[in-house]
Amino acid sequence: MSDWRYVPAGEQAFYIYLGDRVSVEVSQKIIMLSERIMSVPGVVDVVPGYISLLVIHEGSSNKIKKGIEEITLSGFVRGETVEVPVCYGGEFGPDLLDVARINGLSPEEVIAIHSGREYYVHFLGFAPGFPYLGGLDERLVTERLAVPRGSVAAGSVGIGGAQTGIYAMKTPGGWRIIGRTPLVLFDINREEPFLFKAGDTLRFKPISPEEYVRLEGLG
Amino acid sequence: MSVLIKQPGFLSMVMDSGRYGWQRYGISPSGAIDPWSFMVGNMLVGNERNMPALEATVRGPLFEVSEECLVAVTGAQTPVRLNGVEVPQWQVLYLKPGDTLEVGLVEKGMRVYVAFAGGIVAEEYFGSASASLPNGIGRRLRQEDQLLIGKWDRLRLGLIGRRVREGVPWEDTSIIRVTKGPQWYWFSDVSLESFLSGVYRVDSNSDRMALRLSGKELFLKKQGNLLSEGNVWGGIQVPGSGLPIALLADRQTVGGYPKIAIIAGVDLPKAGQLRPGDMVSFVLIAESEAEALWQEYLYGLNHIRAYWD
Repeated sequence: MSDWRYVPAGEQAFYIYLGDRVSVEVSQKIIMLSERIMSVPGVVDVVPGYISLLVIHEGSSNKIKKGIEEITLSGFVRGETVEVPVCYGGEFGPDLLDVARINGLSPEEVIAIHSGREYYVHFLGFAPGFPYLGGLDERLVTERLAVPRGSVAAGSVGIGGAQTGIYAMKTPGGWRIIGRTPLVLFDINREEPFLFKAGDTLRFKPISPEEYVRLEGLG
Repeated sequence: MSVLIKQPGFLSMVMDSGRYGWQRYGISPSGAIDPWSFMVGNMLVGNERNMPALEATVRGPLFEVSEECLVAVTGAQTPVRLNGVEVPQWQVLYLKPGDTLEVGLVEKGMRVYVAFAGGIVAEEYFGSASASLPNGIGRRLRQEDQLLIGKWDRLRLGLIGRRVREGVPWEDTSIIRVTKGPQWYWFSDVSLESFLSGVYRVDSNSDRMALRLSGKELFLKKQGNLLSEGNVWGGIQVPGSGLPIALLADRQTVGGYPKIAIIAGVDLPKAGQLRPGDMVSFVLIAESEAEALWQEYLYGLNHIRAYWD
């Protein structure tokens, strides 16, 4: 495609930048390209980003670029809508009150705004099954913690700047934690190890602590 | 045939050449962090070059074999003892039933490999037997673990004593060659100069995910906002602190820090052998030179017999 920009990343990889701004359209192109490019001889792996695809290859990059030029992208990869139950506030969401205070909202308003819209999964990355989500409401944009927590529980739902997301695994982190889901994003022993895939739409559904415990038991 | 781990060493794990095709789900590649030593070990004992072997960090394991087998110890310079008697690295060793092999404390480099004829039979996840602690895949070896070794043809007994004659490609770890990273031009001229003229020290909090370096700080011309994008093996990213971080086998698949440079493939084995306290300098080479060096590296692997007798 003529408006794609190729940037080398060493002798065994290059980036393809497919756009300048984060959008569902660019993400859709990246998703389709990620699938189709794997059948180009010499392509070993791909890593998507918001506006780019990193292509890891063997052999000559020129030959691979020629193969890529022959790929045509059209249509729309319609993902699934996944409902994510979240227990907001309390011990599961220790930063809910701060996020409300900083943004001049009540905790109930934060929950209503956060769970009141759909989030598009641009791509997975960083950690296994971690979804990069779009579409946080501007009223909830909140700076990260000045001092990151040494450990954030898996399933924690947080806000970091203009991003919202779910911690896929227990890890250190600086996002403000407003709730937690009992769903497991990555389970190597599950038939479908990843809860989400790129192109899915995600909706948060507020649940009570009792419901959280019940769902966690089912998981 | 099985191997009984009597002492696991400091951090010993099963590794093959890594897990590819799953990074778009956030799965890190993992795999042997010094692929040269890993592959040469396998080839010495007559294996396919990517068969699962042991990678040990800082201190190797002590193990006992239940049946006869062929073993090669490669990678970092480490004392190796067969039933208490010192034996050479980079050479095919014959172990008879009940023999113990001790791979000691690493003297030069960081990671030592133990390849067994027949390879280690280990459960594969996403097409690879490599352990990945950050991804929660596999685990480190523990005392009393039993490793299963694959079948091998006794004709391979003819390989006993085969050894690598010439040096390994990473004997001098003080210079690492790099090409320009995707955000090279984001950095100030002063920072680019500092990066190439400075000497960086490998910090003690380095691991299989990354080498954390300290030295001259590096800054952008103006504060830019990088949209999160894929991470490549050997990518050198620079967070707000200004101190570079070189990404290795267990890297997170995606990151948001600008990458000033990429370590040339030919020097990745070297990067995997750097140890805390080591000093390194970076030398910028052209893409075409990195490509030529990489072809030379692959040629060396494919014609490895020229290096041994």
